[in-house]
Amino acid sequence: MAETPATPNPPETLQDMKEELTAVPPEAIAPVEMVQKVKIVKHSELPYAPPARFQSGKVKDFINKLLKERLGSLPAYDFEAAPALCRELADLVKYEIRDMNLPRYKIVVQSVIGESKNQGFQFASKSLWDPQTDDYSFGSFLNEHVFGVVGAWALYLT
Amino acid sequence: MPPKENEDAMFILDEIKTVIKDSIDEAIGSQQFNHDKVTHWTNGVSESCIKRLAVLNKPFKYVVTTVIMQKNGAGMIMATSCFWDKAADGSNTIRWENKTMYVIVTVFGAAI
Repeated sequence: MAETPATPNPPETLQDMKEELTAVPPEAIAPVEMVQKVKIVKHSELPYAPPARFQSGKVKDFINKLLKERLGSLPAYDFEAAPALCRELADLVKYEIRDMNLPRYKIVVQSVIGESKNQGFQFASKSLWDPQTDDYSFGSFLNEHVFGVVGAWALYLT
Repeated sequence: MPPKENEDAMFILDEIKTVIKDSIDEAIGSQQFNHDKVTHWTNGVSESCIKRLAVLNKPFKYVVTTVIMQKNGAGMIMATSCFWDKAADGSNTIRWENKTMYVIVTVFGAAI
């Protein structure tokens, strides 16, 4: 009597059969040694990561261009017109950064203009903040009549 | 974070004024303008300001700017423009001068 050899654990239903045929052995998906080399890169360590970043270079270019335009054409330092001009420069830079649509960022802009008479002058800044989210940018201009420096800081509201 | 007292979370101008004046006294004292030392001074003033502000232990981010200009009759003007929460944030500027230079220190505090 010839018996047909029984297959070990024959599939009971059609669904089981299909799963068995289409199943991919686990070692074919990812060999063990490969998995260990995969490094998990999180988008950011911060749970409160900002959706947009302050682009320091763009702001710097804008400031430099603005100062060249507005101060380069002045014939001399005018102490009566200077306060208004200085405030205007700060406001223009602030609006420019505000229009970059940085949600939850606070913006600080400081501008200095003065007469150049070969005097010593230095502008420096230090900050206590989170370097992962916050940034600053500086731009300056100097010719024989006037000098101008504008600094801009963006502070993220955590 | 434990709830803060209302006064703790405020930018108090007098407090900042003391901080700035102490920092200038510490870093510059009674020295006169010296080109080689200016970088050292601006760093020193800002650094010591930041250290004192950190000790206050308040929920603020700070920006400190220091300007030192030699006196020779040249005019200068400074302006600030900010986009922030007027109720919580603040800034304070102190002008200090001696015979040979102006020192202008501004502290901006932004609540977090």
